[in-house]
Amino acid sequence: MNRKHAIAAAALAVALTTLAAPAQAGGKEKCYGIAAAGQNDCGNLAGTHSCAGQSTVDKDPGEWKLVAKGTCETMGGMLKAEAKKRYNESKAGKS
Amino acid sequence: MTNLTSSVSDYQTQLLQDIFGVENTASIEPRALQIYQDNVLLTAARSLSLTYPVLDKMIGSDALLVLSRRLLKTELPDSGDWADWGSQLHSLLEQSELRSEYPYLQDIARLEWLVSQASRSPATPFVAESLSQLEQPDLSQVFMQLSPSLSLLESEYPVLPMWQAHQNLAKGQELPGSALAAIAEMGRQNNYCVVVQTPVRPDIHSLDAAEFQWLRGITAGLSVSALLDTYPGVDFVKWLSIAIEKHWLLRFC
Repeated sequence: MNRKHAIAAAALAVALTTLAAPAQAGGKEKCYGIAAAGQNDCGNLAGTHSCAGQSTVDKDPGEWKLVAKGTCETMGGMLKAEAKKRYNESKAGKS
Repeated sequence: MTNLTSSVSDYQTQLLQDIFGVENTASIEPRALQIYQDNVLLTAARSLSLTYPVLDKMIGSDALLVLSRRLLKTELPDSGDWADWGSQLHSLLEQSELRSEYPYLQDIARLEWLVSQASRSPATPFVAESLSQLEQPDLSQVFMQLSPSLSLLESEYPVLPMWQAHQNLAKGQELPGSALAAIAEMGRQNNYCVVVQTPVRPDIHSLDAAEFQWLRGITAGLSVSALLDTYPGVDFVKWLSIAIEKHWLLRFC
């Protein structure tokens, strides 16, 4: 075994001990509550606007952006079902 | 206004071109056109302040508004997403009057653009199965592929410490000039860093010259064998472990 193969073998051994690689599904999904003001992707849950870039509040829970599938919650956002549930709850609380 | 196109982003681009391209046209009330232009300008400035939050703190919102106006003249949004706009701010800063007094601003802008781009990219886990490539008898046929979100930055200025020093400042709060000067004095030499998306947020990591050149070598397509020959100062065993942990490396191939 030459020097380079010895290094590669050692690197392989160390790498195997450090590995923890979760699988990640491809695609994108709507993520609510992460868009900065003016950087939402389309209409909001409240229906007060229907265009990208029209949100006025940072991280509004009713506004969404498209993100890589599986990354929404790690960014502190909510998927549509949860966002809609919270929106309906807050609406019921106000009425 | 001209014909609508089928795509919303094309429509947005066309609308912006019309808003800034139409002047002295009798069909549009000048005051109305001014309102549209001001609205776009404020949206542009808001967008830049989000993409370049540290630069915003360093130069202030008035200067950013001026830069937004200048940038709109050379680069209009074309994707339908304001977050995609502003990539050339560093070039604008290079040509601006700010350069003589604050020559590091353009590199702060380059760093912030890379961070912004990484933040909008998916984190890519290392392909563990590809480690078996290291068992190949001919390492000159084994290559590494870095994360698609990874970017490298080289600067004459200590932009990473400057950027970090501004992270906990509230909007409107300034870093004392003496503190910034002290950081600037730290490194009038080459400074290197790597930016990459992780499952949580973009990570920015300082590199030494050898690590930087090693990563450059990978992006240039050098094999593992060639990397070991070219950069003997890099500890590949240690580096590989860090590269996997920090999401720099996507796979061996």
